[in-house]
Amino acid sequence: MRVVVIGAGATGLGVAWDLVLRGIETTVVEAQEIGSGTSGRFHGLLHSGGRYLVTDPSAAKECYEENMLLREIANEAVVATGGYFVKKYGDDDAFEARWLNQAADLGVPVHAEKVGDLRAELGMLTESIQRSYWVPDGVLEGFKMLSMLVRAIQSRGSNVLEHTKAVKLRLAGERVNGVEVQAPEGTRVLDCDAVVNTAGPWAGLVARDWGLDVKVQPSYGLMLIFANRRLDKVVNRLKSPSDGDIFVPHQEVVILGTTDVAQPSPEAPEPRRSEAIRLMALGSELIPDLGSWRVLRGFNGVRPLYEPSGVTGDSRKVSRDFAVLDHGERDGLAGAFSVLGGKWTTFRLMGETLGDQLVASFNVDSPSRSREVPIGVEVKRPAPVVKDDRGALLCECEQVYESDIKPTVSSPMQLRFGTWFSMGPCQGTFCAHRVLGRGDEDGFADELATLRREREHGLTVVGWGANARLIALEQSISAQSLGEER
Amino acid sequence: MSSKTAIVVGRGPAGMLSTSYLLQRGYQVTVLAESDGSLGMWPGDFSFGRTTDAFQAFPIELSSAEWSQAFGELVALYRSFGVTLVLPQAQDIPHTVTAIGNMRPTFATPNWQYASSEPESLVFVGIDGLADSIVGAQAATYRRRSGCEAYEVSLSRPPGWDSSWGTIRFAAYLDGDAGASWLAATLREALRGVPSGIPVVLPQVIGLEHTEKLLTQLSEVGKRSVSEFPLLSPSIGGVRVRDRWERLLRQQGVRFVSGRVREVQPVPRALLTDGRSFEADCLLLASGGVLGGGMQVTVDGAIVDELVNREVGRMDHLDALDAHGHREIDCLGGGRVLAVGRAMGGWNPNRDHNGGAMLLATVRTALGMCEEVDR
Repeated sequence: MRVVVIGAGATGLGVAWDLVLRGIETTVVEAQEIGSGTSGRFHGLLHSGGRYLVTDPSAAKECYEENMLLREIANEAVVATGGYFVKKYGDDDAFEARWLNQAADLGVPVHAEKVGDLRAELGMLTESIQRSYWVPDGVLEGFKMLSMLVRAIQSRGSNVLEHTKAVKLRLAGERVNGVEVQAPEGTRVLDCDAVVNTAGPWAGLVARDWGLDVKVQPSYGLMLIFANRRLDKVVNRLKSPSDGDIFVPHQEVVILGTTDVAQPSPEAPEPRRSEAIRLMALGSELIPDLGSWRVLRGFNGVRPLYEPSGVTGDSRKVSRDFAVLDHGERDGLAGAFSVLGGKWTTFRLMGETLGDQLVASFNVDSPSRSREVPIGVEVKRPAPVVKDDRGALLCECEQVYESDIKPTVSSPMQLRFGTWFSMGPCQGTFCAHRVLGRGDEDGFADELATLRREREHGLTVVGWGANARLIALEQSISAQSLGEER
Repeated sequence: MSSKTAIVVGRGPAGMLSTSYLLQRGYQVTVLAESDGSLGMWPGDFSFGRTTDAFQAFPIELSSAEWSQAFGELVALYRSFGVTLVLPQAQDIPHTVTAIGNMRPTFATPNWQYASSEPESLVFVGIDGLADSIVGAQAATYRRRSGCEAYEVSLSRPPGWDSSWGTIRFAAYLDGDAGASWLAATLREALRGVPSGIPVVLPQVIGLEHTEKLLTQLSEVGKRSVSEFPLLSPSIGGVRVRDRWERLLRQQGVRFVSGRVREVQPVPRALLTDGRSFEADCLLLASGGVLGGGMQVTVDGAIVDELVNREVGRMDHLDALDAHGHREIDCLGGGRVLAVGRAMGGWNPNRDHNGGAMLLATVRTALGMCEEVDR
């Protein structure tokens, strides 16, 4: 059996991995780059389920179980930081009671933590904390997980094709038997027995191309990145999930999330300054001194929420749970499936669920193995023994050396799988041309310009104080030293 | 009769230029600055504008004769501290080449830096182990931008190199005898087979004190023009200018005071954060724009000069950052506190390549005002 999966984010790669383990030849086609949609734009939280205990219990339970499982099968991409839920004086007592009950009912471990101990550990937190609880939150290193999945999928003979856009289904009667794809090399048809739409926020558009009506509610959220890992654990506000109520330590930075605004488009909108200011104000309810933290940038991610009954406009109330649609049953288009909604944390379960439905629809008995097979160890950058073998230091903020840059990778997104170049305090001002200039020589100037615009958008939203000065520096370097046209 | 006194706040290019010109006019000058200033961040060439009639759009209008006199004075000043500035011969605005192979407008250019009025074939030299050296991508971009041929040659890492070598370390190495002979030998070898006569451009790391001598020797040996293209901050060209210029100013008796100015009053008086205060006959505010630190952007987007507690604009879009500053040179209205360089708004050096013209025009105008007030 052959399957084409549309979209190489967490969902698509999770689906492909589950199918590949069942012995199904799978090709993932991605219109842009791996992880360039929602999966590369999230706060990095590996949910314990704590956030959704009250508002979305089934999502909470799935999150907890997958969290525990990923620690076993993909330990390399998980950092078991643990996290706290903190209740401030005045926050709803009834919510806290319900939250504790739900945790007990659903089996999510929650331990009361003395406020004194909490503040001794995380001294930056507000003094007006009434109670706090430890939960098994963690950090999911998204790019690492994606690259592990790609490697695992490819090592078993299946394919992930970037810059390849699915444009049309080829049908035999009412059954899908191929997908026409457009790539830089040209247009061709991939033969297949089934196609799976895992396009995240674009899933509604993909379904529309197939002549189907699928209600996806894209909802964007703004996140702010702060320099330095000032806290070591996830910190959540113990109240109904809302804006600016979660801090996640991610490698060397801390990310504050998030807003939740429904929008018609699947594209991440340009971050807005007014929203950043609001997020800062909300965040300082937990960390009063937040204003003095150096903000590196802001970025928007787009959640692909699924709303079976149609678009509601209030995206906080749309479930974080996921759905698998068999368009053969639902719409009479046999062999076509969509996987919608869900969380990064539950990507594997989404793959398993899709896989079960897909093989059942073909009357094949092939159980999922993604629960027990490790996703595989990411191949680490080899640590050179001799200092000079590293080559020149290209990115001083994130200590990226020439030897860290693989000559085979050509795009900035791919470079970020292995390095954190352009993500540090200078945001690529000094290093972007050094790194990209060692890649594709002819496409270099365009890539550099694209990266600059993208970094500028993230900087502008938090363009005050030292950051405003950095923007001016970035613009001057770009214009005066490098002669880039604006 | 005691001589007139002046305070210059800031020691970037505008501050240094003001100081030199004030000295020439007989002032005793005190420079107040928190740090080294920004001269070392930029290559040290003076740009004039993208088009020949660019000055028509400048907030200060000077005639062609006045521009020409202004640049003439600048050349003489640079000569006094040992840097030769080359002015364009023709009407055209010349260009230099950048580390990524773009052609950027320049105008008054130190003689170590490549400048040409017409695109021409070039030999680009890369040095292995130098982070900014991306000769393949640079040559590819130059070919496309100029339509001319670009040859690429690469030099191996110098002996003793390690990963910690940045541009300053390279420049210091090449400034010494060992580095100079290594460069001469490797470059001669690398240029074998490259058609003769085609000008060579090297990354701007060819020494600090002995640059001119090194480049002259390389040109004579290779029988072709050899010059540098500028790199990023810290820029060795700017470091050379800064060091030579400051040395001269100190010899001429300028007093450099380290400290952060907290407030400037119309008296004129400058108050420092540590409690010291300075008064003089006139004060030149060369504290910079947003980049230099003279203007701050508040959380709600106002662009503010905190020294005089004034909002000068809003950061509505990115391009605004470069163009905002005081609207009048006489920024406090008393004729004695004068905004120069990027503290004076209305220019956008990044967009219009008029940074050099901005410096000259604002400093000259401010000096005229000082003298006016004193009479």
